[in-house]
This record gives sequence, structure tokens and C-alpha cells, in this order.
Amino acid sequence: MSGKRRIRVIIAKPGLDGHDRGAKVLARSLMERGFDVVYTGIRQTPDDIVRAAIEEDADVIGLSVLSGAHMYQFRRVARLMKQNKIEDVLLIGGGIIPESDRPKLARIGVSAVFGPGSSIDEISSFITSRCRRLK
Amino acid sequence: MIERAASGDRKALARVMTEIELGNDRISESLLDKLHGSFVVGITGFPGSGKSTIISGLAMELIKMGQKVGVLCVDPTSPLSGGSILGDRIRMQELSRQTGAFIRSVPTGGKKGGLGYFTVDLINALDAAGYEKIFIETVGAGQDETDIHNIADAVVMVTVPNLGDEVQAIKAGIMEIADIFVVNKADTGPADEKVKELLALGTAGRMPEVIKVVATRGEGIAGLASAIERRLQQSSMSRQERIKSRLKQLVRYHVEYRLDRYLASRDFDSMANELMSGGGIAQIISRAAGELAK
Amino acid sequence: MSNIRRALDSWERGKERAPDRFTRSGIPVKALYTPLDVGGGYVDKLGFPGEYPFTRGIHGEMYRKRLWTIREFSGYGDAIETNRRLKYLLQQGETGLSIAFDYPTLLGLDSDDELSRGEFGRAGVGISTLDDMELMFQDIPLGTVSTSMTINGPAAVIWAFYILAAEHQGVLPAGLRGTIQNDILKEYMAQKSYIFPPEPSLKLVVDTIEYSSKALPQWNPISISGYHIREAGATAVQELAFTIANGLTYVEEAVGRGLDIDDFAPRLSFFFDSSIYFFEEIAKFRAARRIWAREIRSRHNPKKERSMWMRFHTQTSGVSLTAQQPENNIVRTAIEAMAAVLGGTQSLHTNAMDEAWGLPTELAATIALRTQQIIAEESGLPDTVDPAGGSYYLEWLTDKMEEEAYAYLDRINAIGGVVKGIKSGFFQREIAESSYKYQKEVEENKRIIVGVNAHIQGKTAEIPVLKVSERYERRQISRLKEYRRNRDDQKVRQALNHIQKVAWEENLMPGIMSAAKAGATLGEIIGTMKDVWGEYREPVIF
Repeated sequence: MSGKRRIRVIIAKPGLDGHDRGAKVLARSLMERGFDVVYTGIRQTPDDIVRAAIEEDADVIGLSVLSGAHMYQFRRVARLMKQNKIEDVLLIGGGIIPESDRPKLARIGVSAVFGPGSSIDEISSFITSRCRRLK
Repeated sequence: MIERAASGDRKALARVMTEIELGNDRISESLLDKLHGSFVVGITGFPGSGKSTIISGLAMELIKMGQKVGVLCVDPTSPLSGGSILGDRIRMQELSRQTGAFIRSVPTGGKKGGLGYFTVDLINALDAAGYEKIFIETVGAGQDETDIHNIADAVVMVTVPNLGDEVQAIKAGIMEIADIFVVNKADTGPADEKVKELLALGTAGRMPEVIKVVATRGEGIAGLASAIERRLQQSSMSRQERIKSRLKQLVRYHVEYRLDRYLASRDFDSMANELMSGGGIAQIISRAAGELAK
Repeated sequence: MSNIRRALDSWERGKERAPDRFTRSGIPVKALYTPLDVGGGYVDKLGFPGEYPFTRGIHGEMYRKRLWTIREFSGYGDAIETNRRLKYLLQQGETGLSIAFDYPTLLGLDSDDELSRGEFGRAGVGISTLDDMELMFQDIPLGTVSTSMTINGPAAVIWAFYILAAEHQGVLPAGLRGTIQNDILKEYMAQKSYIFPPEPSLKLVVDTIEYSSKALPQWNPISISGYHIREAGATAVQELAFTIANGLTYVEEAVGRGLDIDDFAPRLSFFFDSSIYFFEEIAKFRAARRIWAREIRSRHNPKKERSMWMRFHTQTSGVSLTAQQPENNIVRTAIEAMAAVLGGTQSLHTNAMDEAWGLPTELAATIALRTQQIIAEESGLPDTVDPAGGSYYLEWLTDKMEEEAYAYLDRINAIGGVVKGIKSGFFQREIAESSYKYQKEVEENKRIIVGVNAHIQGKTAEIPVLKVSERYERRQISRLKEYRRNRDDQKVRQALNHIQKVAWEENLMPGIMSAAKAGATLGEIIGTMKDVWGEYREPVIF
């Protein structure tokens, strides 16, 4: 009989800003929707995050950045994912991210950006529909 | 995949663990003849007592001595949603950057007793991949955390000053609770009283070992590390015996897993089928019996 | 009263009741409030503006004599760019400067630290040295402006830079006016820009309070902030209670050091959020003044009336802004600003409409400024003191906020005070719980946010946001390297060694100032303190 591994999501805050309200609400809400959420907390480097994604064999990496440093941080994470050959992990983002940066983020492999006002249902159904293990 | 994991491929090891969590019994089985007999150290204690920080400190000491250290952090699965929040890595940032470390979060999946259903298999995966010391951080929910004692070669219970309840709870038999007691955050309250309290629960000839620690500052960690090392070396069990004792638990966990699942779904036909067909659990039992007979 | 009760009974009779309503803090709201809800005790509970318990305001004539200070944030990129923006704002009629710092600065890291990469100048200006500070205020007369600096963990160092920069302009410390936020307790609770563990952090805060009481009598050495607690998800009641608990903690620490309450309490300032649930916000401000005055009087028995004043700055709520239909944010901000004015604020920051997307553009920032000017100069709100006072609803709600805040103060007391509560995760848990609950209410459409879960329009029009050029980072790093080359390393080392030696024993301000003068950078000074005090790691709380 098969085990019941859940979709495993890393929720991380790369960089230095400590605004973890959104990340925490999302972590808890995803847990209540049946996901296994690995919460790595604030002040994470891109290396920390990618290493956690590898060891946890995560299905999704969700990054929250409110400091304006999203382009730099997301680019570093995406590059490390490629180097470690885990590009198949779904990469999504949230925070204060200008519309004009979204196409750039999409090009480096960020599948979706959820800004202020995004609903948890929207995020969780996006994850469920795009997660590699369910394909 | 297992070979690649054993050769140090972090991603392969992670995949092996996922396969285990997906219920791939073949993987669980094929790990059995690749075990080295690593030491398993259990860290238990109430949430907030500082288990993760202590593990991080202990593991850093071992890594400095050139050892490879695996860590399994068990967190509870929500009985309502089946999901979980696995938040122990936060406390292990420095450790998680070390080449010699591998940290994996483990949801209980609803299993009672403080560990997850696949914990033994995950230990085996780390063992087969060459991790010489394996730390297990239990859920930390309190008295019903009995599983760790059957699995670990040494158990450390972490307490803090100003928290009286758990001492009351364990007075039934302190030596059954843990091999070593840690009074963490010893700078925040009457730590010496706590130490005395714990010692008072010992009996002549069977005194618990109690160590004061301030994990956030690294104080007392080296002492704790050598106490654990002493304990492991004193153990009369050989490498083979350690592996075998873990195997017994593995069988128990797999049986328990199936029982819980089948009973929850009331799907007795499938349970009977699995037993009669000789696959799945039957396979694991016979394989384990073979190993145990060696 | 019995007349009113009879009339009310007959009014209520036979009325079909609409479903219950609740404030954002979860306080039930009735259909109607009457004199019966307010009760007596006018003099005790409200009194007169400028008199204890200051419910109606700390000044007798409030805005009739002097308007609130209009203070808009600025700061991004490097010191040179921020200097340009500050001069522009002064020309536009701003009356006080307000500096935001980038994350490396907030965490006491130099601009060229490995961890600073990608963060420089993004959320504010990056400052690493005394030289940076001097450049930021070049040609701005520090003897006449008042400057508010949003800095906490390394506040003592940034403040030292400022004092020395002024000295360089020929302005003595005693002539300086302004505020450093310097409220470390709320960092552990909410904003998470902490560096050291709580105990040494508190010690450092008291160092600055002590220093200002002696050398900078016109300076506010701390701005005890509910804003970030609220923005992290707390309710208005929690914001009120936790802020006052933090304030009382600082006072106790300072008194414990041997300071006279009247030597420092008049310079304590506060900083609140003003969010969209209008009356609850006004009630919060009024209750805050009353509780503070009462607690300071009963606990510390000051001789000066001013020691009991709660003077506060207000900022409209960033979290209440939506990315969808951003123009609506102008209206939200106007409502929130009115609540702050009706609540008797001493200074006000209005957010720009585009802040859910990024840093404000000049146009958006100007509209935010004009919003305040319209309230101040067109609306007539400043023409009388506490114009909303006496509303049955508002007075009832003010009492209610006070009652709920006291319930929290009792709980905080029972768990052993603020620092214990932080270490055990009490505050973090309370805040996380509220923010989760709020999110759920929005998801279930129990709370309406226009443009988000009601009155949704398809695609949001793209709005421009301010781009921070990477040029600033390169310019800063080369200046910083140059700065380090041109100093006497021997002197820097000596100054840092001194800090290390006296970190626990002496007031650190003189030591920090000597180090800054010798050319030590922010990162080096903070790094030295980290060596002594260690770094804080928070408990994991959901």
C-alpha cells in the first residue's frame, strides 16, 4: 500500500527583511489545506533555501520578499536551482513586487507571483495544479 | 538511487527518503543489507525547551571532529487536515550549511508516540548513506513519547527551569524516560533546583545524569556531547545487534502503519489481501526475519 | 436617565434586529449608542485638553495653536540621492524630515557586507559611516529641521553619526531636534529587525535615553511603536496594549538605572498605526493617552505634568492598501488620516497609493502630502479640540478599548513581563493568531476589501513605481572602500576595543561616538557588540 506523502512546500524569506506576516499566514493556511510546509523563517540566504529544498525533496519553493530585493534574491535562487538540477521544483513568490518586474521573474523561472490581496485558495489551487508530482 | 545516495549524492538520498514516505517497500527492503549500524540519539522534551538548538550544537561538535551527522526532525501532522508545519530547520541554520550534515523534516502522519511511521526507514536511509550519528528530534508532546526509547541508542530529555509539570509527569520511573537529562536555558531561572529535583528522582545505584546547558550560547554542549559519547560507548550492543534491534522496530512500525490505515478506512479486505498475497508487509516481515536470523 | 431608558425601550420594541457586527478587534457593536452607554465621570475620564488624564488631547488648544507635523518618509539609494530628495521635500512644504533606512543598515551591516547584496538602498537609504551621514544632510541646516529616523537595532550608532554630522555643521547637540525610533521590543514582537538578545538591547536603549536626557534635551530618544505590531497582524486592542506594555518596560529600565522620571519621560514619544476601521482607531488614540497618563502617575509619581503626556506620531496603514485598483488607496489613506487627526496625533505620515507595489513615485508621494494639507487647511477638523469627543459611540468605544487593553496588561504581568513574553513567544503567537483570523475573514468574505473580495475589476492598470538604480550601490561601495583606506586603522581598533571592554558596564554613547569619529563603520561597531552580546534567534511561533 502506498504511503501518504503530502505536497511538500518550502516557505522561506530570503534576504534581510523580517516582515513575516504573509509567509506565516500562508504556511499555516497551507497546512490547514493538507500540505506539509517546511518553514525556514527569516534571514535565509539563497543557498540555505535551495539546500533545504534538496534535502526535503520539496515540491514547491515559495519565497516572500518585501524589501525590494526580489530580483536579486529570486535570480540567485533560480540560478542555484538550475545548478543543482532541481528546476522541476515549482518556484513561486510573494511580497511587494512591482508589476513591471513580473515578466522578468517569469523569464527566470518564477511560475507565479502573489502580491498583497492574493487569496490563499488561489495560491493553493495554483500549487496543486502545477506541482510536478501530480502530473 | 541508494548507491548514489551512499556515494554522497544529497539529492539521491532525499529521493530515497521520499520513496520511503511514498510507501515504496522495495526501497525500505533494499536498504536492509546496506546498513553500517550508525548510532541513533533521541532528543526529547517539551516544545520550546530548545531541542533543535541543542541538536544543532551537538552536531556541530561532531562535524568538527570529521563525522557525518544526520538529523530527523519530527513534527506533528494535523489530525484535521493531514498537513503539517515543519519548522525545526530555523534553529539549525549554521548546521544546515555544513557539508557533513543532512537534515530532514518528518511529519508524524498521525502516528502516536512522538515519531513518524517511517522513522526507522529514514534512519536506515541515513545509515546506508554513511551518516555515523543520527539525531532524532521528537515531537515533544510529553509523556506518551515512548517510541524513541526503542529506537535510539541514547535518549536525552531536555527540560528548562521554571517548568515543573514534566518532572511530576515522569516520576514514575525516571530512568525509563531518558539516559541523560539536560537543564537548558540554565541562565533563565533556578537551574540548580531543577537539577536537584531530577536527581532526587533517582534511586541508589541508578542516578540519572543531569547536565546544565545554555544552548543558545553553546555553554555545556561539549560536556553533553561527551556524556552522550560515553553512553554510546558503554552500551553492550554490537554493531550487528544495533541493526537487528532497529529491524524489530521497523517491522513493528510497518505493521502499525498498516493497522492504523486499514482500521481508519475500515478496509479489512485490502488488509487481508495484503497479508495473504505475501506482498507488502508479508515481504518485509520475512525479509526482516532473514536478516535477524543472520 | 430613566427618561432616556424608557424612550430607548420603546424605540427598541418591535424592531427587527440586523445581525451582530464587530469591530476589527472583535468588539461587538450595537445598533445605537445613547447617554446610557457613557455613564458619568466626565472630569475623571475625559477632563479637559491639556489636563490629566489627557483623553481629549495633550495640549489645551490642540491644532488651533499648532498643526500636527507633516512628515513623509524618504530615503532610498545612497546618501547623495537621499540628500537630493530631502531638499526637494523641504521645498514642497514638509515640516519635518523622516528617514527610512535599508535593511543592511537596519541590521547593522555595512553596505559592502556579503549579506547586504541586492538589498542596498532598496527599502531606504544605506548608511555605513559618519561620512555617509554628513553627505545625506549636506546643505540641510540640522539646527533648524527636526529629523525622525526609523532605526532600531543600531539606533545608537546611527544617532551618534547624526550628532557628529551636526557638530561638523557647527550645531551643538543641545540644539538638535528629532526622533530615533529605537524601540527594540517591538522588533522581537513584530518587525524582526533585531540584532542582539533582549537584555543587552534594552541596556543600549537605556544608554540612549540617559544620554539624551543629559546632552540632547530636545531629542526624542525613542518612539515606542505600535505601528509594526499592528501591521504584523495585531488588532487595534493588541497594538494599544503591547505598545503601552513596551513603554512601561522602558520606563522601568530607565528608572532602574537611577534616572529621574521627570528627566526623561517628557521625551518619550509614541508611534501608532491608523487603519481603516474609523471609530476604533480614534478610540484607540484617546484610550492610549488616558492609560499612559494613569499608569505613569500611579507607578512613578512624576512632578512634571509633561511626564504623563503621550505624544505620538501616526502613520496610515500600509497593510490596508491594496495592489488591486491602487487609486482607491488615496481614499483609504484620507479616511485613516482623518482618524489620526480626530485622535489628536502630533505628527502624521500618509502612505502613497502605490506602496503595495513598491517605493512611491514622486507624484504618489505628493498626493499623500496633499491629503494632509486638505485635512489641515480645508476640512475644518483642526478648528476645535477633539471634535469627535462626546459621541456616545466613541466614548463607549474608548472605554471599551481601555478595558480590553487592561485585560492584556494583566496577562502580560502574569506571564512575567514583556521580555519573558517575547522569549516564550507570547506576543508573536497572539499577533499570528489575529492575522490568521483576519485573513480567514477576508477569504470567507466576512470582511470586505473593495477591489479584493468585492467590486472586483478585471485587470489592474499598471502603475509606475520608483526604480532604485544599481548605480547607487556601486557608488556607495566604492566610497566605502575609499573611506576605509583613508582612516587610521590603529585608532579604529583602539576605539572598538574600548566598546568591547565597557559594553555592559558603561553608557556606550561616548564610546560609540569616539569610534565613529575615528572612522569605524556601522558594521564594525555593531559587530564588536555582537562579539560581546551575541545574536538573537527567535522562537518559532505560528
